[in-house]
Amino acid sequence: MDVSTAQLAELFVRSLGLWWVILPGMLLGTIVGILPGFSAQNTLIILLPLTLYMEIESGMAFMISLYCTTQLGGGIPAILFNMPGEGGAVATTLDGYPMTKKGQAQQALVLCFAASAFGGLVTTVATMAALPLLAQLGLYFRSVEMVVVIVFGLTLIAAIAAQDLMKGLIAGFFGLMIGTIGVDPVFGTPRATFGLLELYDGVPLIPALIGLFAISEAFVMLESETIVRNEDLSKAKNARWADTLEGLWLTGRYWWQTVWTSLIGLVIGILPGAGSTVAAFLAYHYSKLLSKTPELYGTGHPPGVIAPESANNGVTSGTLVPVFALGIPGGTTGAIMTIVLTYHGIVLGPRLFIERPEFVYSVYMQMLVCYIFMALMILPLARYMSRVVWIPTRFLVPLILSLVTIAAFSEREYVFDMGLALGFGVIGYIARKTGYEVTAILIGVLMGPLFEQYFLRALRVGQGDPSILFSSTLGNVLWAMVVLALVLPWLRSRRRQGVLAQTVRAGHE
Amino acid sequence: MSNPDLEEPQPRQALGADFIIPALGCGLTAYYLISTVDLVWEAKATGICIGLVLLALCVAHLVRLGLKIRSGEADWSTGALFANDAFNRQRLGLTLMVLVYVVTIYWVGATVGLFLLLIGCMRLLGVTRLRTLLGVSFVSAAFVHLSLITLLDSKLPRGVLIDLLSKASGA
Amino acid sequence: MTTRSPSISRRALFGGLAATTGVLAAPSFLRHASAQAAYPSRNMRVLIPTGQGGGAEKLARSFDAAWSKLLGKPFEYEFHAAAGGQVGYTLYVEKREKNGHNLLFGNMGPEMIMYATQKPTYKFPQDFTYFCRTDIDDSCVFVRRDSPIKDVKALVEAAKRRPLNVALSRIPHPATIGMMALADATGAKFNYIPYGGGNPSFMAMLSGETEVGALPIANTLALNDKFRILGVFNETNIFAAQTDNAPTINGAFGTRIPELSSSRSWAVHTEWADANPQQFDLLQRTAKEAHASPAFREQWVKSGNPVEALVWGDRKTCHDYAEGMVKLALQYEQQLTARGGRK
Repeated sequence: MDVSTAQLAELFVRSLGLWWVILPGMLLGTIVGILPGFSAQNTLIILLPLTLYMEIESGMAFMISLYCTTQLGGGIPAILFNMPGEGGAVATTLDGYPMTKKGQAQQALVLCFAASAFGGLVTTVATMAALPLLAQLGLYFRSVEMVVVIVFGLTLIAAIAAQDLMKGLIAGFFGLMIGTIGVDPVFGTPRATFGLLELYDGVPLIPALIGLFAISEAFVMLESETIVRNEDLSKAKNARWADTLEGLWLTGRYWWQTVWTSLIGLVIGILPGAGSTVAAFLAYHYSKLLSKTPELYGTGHPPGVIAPESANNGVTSGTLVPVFALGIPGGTTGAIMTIVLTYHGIVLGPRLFIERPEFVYSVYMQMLVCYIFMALMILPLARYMSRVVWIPTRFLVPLILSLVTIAAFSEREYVFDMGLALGFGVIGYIARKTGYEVTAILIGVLMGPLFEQYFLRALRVGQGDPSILFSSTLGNVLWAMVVLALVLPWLRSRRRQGVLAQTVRAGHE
Repeated sequence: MSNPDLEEPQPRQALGADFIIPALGCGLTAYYLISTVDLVWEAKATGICIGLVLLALCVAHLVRLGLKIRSGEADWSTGALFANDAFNRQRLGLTLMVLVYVVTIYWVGATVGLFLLLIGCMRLLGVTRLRTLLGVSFVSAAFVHLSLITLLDSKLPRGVLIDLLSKASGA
Repeated sequence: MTTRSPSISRRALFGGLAATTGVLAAPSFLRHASAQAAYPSRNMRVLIPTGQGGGAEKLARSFDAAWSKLLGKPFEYEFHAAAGGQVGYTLYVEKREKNGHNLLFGNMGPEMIMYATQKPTYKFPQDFTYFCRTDIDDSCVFVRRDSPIKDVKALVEAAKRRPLNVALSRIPHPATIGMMALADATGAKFNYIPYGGGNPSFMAMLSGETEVGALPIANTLALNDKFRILGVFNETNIFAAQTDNAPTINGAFGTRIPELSSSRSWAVHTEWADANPQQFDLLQRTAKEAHASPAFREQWVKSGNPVEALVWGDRKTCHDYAEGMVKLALQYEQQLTARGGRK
């Protein structure tokens, strides 16, 4: 598949000409991203009649810009209110919100936007350069490999729970147990659903996320006058453009972090069934694991914002790879785009690369243009949006509580989900106050069903023989990484303690 | 171990609330195990394995807490979590108001209910100016109505009042 | 690729935006104003008990291209895929107004198997009635093009020597019953692996995780360059030309396995249909017309699907098919459910 530089340039110019659909798509994507409960998938489904009606090129540009910006939008409330707007932004709360509390909301938002835009740019370019090769990647990750990827994600529970391992593990396993509610993945028989039809599909992620994060945070938030600590509020209010630029400088400083975490997102995006939440957690986990200062994570450390944000935008580039290359979508967003593409008579799969390679590149070029537009709006958006946290909590708490309760309805349109979110809010609040990590609970809720699905499938593939889990080279490499993820922090802390102890001893001597 | 005679009396840790999350976990596990008893092994294997690990963790943790309580370092009280203070009363009030909103949403409707909920919550948190209460609540409720119900035709319950108004305008 | 002048497109956009806003806003503004008007008086709301982007959605949208014009009302969709369709059907029966504007577009084959094995709270045909079959999508068994297994007999021989891994959409599915019946009849051993849908099953086949696939034929044919169809679970193979004359399973082995197809159909609340015979008649008539219309067929073919699969069926045909599927599912109940006694 060859497309010349001149053709690429022409496609770029033509994509720029689609600004009239890209900008509304971005605006809508940002709003949808900010509001928990409204996902890119749901919005794309609602707007399907419009996109089917549009010409294929503009329809795709609109959908892609909406989808890409949703990931960016999700990070905004995660940073400002500890309330992730999308599943992909849950990991952003871990360091984004502590930055806000320190009066660095502007910097955190710039980090989030810049990492999103540059991460997206990097992966879009990478995808354009190596699309057919990347398409093969999905074929190497079978059930066994996916089990290991999910187990790796689960080890994050231990990493998050470093302060009190026992409580962290209880929180994580409590989440995993909640994740087993719903029909079993083999026969479709309901389990532990309390007879509630609404739980047949398992505990829905969005109400759980809204409850554990947004509602419980609102309950904690009301103890102070504003989100930002009083002593930091004046600093935040006096922040100048120079402070906004600091975020950009920080992103530049951690450019390599942005590149490799976005590539993790790209790989996860290509794999079927994983998605941006898993990608963001994995990227955060790797970033902490390989950092020289892992103890700073969770305290408002810039790479803790960069890693999940660049990864969840990396996913967006990966999503379309199996759609184009194989004609087989890996997730819901890919499936909706497949509907639009096939509705317009686009034949997907290898033939597309032979017959209409320029079409494939034009779609990625639209993505590129979207990310360039995104890069341009970073500074003003961050500067003015960060001011929301100055609003006194006596207004913020009621607004957050009521709006997120309505948002909990929006994903599946069940009133039940509003009550469920409130229930999770109370659990989340108790967990926070008694030192059980809500993130660990959510990781369990999210990864539990994925783990069960891939695990049972792998065992079936192995015809009941558990050694199948160690039967593939790639799987075994990934297992080694899992072991490393568990052992490395322990080794490091031992080493540090050893060095420290020696220093102390030397001091005594 | 340090000599207790030389130590100043330390306030006891309130560990009662620490039992809540493990208790919920154990309760859920017990329900899972009982309700899946007639299923084939494959359909319940993952849940049983997770549940057993959770039970073991909870037991170990509870033993740890129990030992602390027995040694006098801690007690069964729930500390600040359920204390009768202003913040907890506010939290309880907010929770009840949201609960009432959810329970009555079919009759009151999402928009009217939201308007009332916001007034109630803000009032509870100390906003007293009537114009502010009404203004913020009205703008927020109107925004939700216009964006979700009118434009996106969401299935959020309209409530008896809006339905009657719509029927009246239709007639 | 077509190009267009940006300025014209922008004008089109702003006009379109105004129109779209109107269309989006219209339902709630106009709903009650026109409540007394002739049927249908408002948008048709369709509940699909499978996920977005699947075969059902593609088919429903292609059909709607013709039907919405005949009914004069646009279609809106919602998806409730949980528990093999059980959630979607229960919601439809219990929570959707029985007013003829709420329809269900279901896949009768797998969903009737689920109905038979999971014993949900709703009842067929008392609570809902299928009235327009849109297609017959025969179950087929297939391998990768580069597989050493070249025909269905070789497949069975290989499966007699050692159990072969079969990629399936779900355990309670016509294709699964087909494979179970084939195993029973020939002594072949298959190891059934449900992937939760056609797309992940295709990926499992492409990655080599499974050696054999058993799925509905229409989507498999769309990936004809990657897969070889070895046999079809029906009395005739209507896609003989596209499948290198793949035989029917019964033809190859002399078995009497019943026709095992997925068959999608529109359904409506039985209570409404019985109480409003004229309106129900309009619904059935227009659905039949839509099925025969070129608009539907063109859209379906444009989406890369075979027109031969589009076989219309009336209420009775659907009813007989659904009842037949229930009987068949009960025959294999032990293997199709987690409460089957296979401890």
